[in-house]
Amino acid sequence: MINNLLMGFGTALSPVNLILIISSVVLGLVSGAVPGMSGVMTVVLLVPITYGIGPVKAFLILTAVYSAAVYAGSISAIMFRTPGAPEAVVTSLDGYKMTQKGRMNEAISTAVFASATGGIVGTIILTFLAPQLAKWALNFSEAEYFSLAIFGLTLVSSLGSKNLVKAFITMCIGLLLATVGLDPVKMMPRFTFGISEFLGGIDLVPIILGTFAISEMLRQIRKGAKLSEMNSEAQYSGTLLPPFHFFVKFKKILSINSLLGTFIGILPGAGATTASLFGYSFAQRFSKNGKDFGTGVPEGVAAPEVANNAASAGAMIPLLSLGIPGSATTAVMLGAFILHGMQPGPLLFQQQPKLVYTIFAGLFIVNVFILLLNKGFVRVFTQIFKVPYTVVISIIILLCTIGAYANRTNVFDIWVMLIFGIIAYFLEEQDYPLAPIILGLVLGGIAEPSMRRALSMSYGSFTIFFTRPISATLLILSLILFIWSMYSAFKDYQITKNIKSEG
Amino acid sequence: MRTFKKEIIIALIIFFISIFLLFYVNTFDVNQSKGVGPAFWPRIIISFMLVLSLINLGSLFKKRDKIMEETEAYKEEKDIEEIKNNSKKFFISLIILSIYSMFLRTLGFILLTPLLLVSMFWNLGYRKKILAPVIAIVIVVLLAYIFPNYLNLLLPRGQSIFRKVSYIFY
Repeated sequence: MINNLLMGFGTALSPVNLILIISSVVLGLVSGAVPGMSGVMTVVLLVPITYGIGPVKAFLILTAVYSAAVYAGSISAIMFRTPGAPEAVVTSLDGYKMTQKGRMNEAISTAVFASATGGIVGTIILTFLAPQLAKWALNFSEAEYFSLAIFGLTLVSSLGSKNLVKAFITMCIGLLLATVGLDPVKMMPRFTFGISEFLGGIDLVPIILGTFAISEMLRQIRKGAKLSEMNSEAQYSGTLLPPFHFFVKFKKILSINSLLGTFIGILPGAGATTASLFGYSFAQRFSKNGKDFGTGVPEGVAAPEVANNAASAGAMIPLLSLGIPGSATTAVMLGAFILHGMQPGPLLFQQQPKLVYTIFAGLFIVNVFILLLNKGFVRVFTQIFKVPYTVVISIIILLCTIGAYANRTNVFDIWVMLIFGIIAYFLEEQDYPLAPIILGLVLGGIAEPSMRRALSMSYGSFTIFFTRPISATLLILSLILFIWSMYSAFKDYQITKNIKSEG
Repeated sequence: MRTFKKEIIIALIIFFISIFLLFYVNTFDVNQSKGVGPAFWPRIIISFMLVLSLINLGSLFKKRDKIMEETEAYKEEKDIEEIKNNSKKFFISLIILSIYSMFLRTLGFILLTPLLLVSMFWNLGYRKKILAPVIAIVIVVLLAYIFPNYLNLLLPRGQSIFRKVSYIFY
């Protein structure tokens, strides 16, 4: 493993890759910090654009953007109380209060040092845990892959906890989309409706671009394509590296929340936002200043930032070792792997060790560059808001059309992207979560062929899924998770109903 | 904006599509004598979706008053004129994008994209007569140079004369 990791560092530290990492960190910082843009959307836009430059470079770029964006959401949250990303919402509680008290430098320094610590601890755990998990998963056969896909699908419940029924409906839409084209066993056309472009299936890229980027741009247009007023007078003059007393002061928060964040990140479906919420409320309980949280204390900035950055690294563990995407961004990453002709999971560690360990090394380097580039970035950040948002929206839409076209050089895919953008916009407007569409589309492509092949092995008997221990365990876990999420949703509904009737 | 009417329309569309697909899926198994055929997996998904859409419809009627309250509160909070104006921008953007997609194959990236950008800028409110076309042209030239040459991404060339023009750039 150490040799592989050294090889990974060797690849990631080559001059070209280093330049790519630095540019991607800057891009990630911009996309995370500017409200209305997001890390997910930037990763989505970059998936087709990076297709032509080879998998190693492509994944260095994607992971760098992803990690930098998770941190950068806190910058605008602290400076303007406008979180650049959902995971930074909690950071704004104390961060913005600190800015109001004239302690912006301290708040941003705390956020960046805490983020880097969380990111590095998360990456260390990722580097050591993911290969072990992948080794265990090497025993999987078709039945286990099917059960694993089903387990992944039940995690939709946590992606769409606000409305479970709607989350499962959008998941079904994704699963149905995965069945379009030739049937995997008998090569019979399904849901093609006489359109020859559908015979090869629906391409993942236009669906991802439409679902996440186009729908979001349409939403911004409907909102008036305006950014909130910003205070561009704020100036930042923090230090580049964390002082020693930072680690002493926050030792409890840094150690507990980085582990907690990574663990929450591993749980598919939980993600960085949940981690930041848990991290904040956890720290509130064990911190000496717990009662002052929300009034502008640095602990209230450090706690969510350690946790959400650790979670972003943790989320890569199930993706790389099992091929299960636990969040919208990792679902998009899974799509990127498929686009490059690879399937994340146990075999990835055997077939592509250079790629996997370069990703690990890249994540370490990214966290170092977040520290180094932060100071300069915050200084120029306020200038970004001078670019008219209408221009930004138009350019993003243009990049989406290029991305949709470029993969198969087919204008038909632009239409697919547009139609799915419109559908996703209207679905999201009525509170239908969108990430399950991608989860369904990606896992549907694994579930059905695995099921059909497993049934061929067992001469059509479904007992194969219950007689193999890992498969049976995964299916039982799926059932428990499904019932538990239904029960929780019902309980929440009852509580709301009771409050309403008492009120 | 979430409204009860839109909720019902979407839920009904999902419901009717599920019913249609449930019948349509039978055509996949015409040569299937026994065992799991091409229709098996889609049928499971569609049946699940049908059940979910029924539960969704039921819960919508239960939550009807709450959704209507939310809609009213939103309408009171927002300026109706602004909402209408933004809706106009929204639909014009969709028309611009549809026209762009329709003619891209024939006219190509180089000619059509500056028009797309300028019309989008104009529609969204950026109406500087000189700067807007200049920005659009600079972006198109940059993209036409970077994408094919450095990222190996092909851009639509168009047909006949437009195709010849595109060779100047990429």
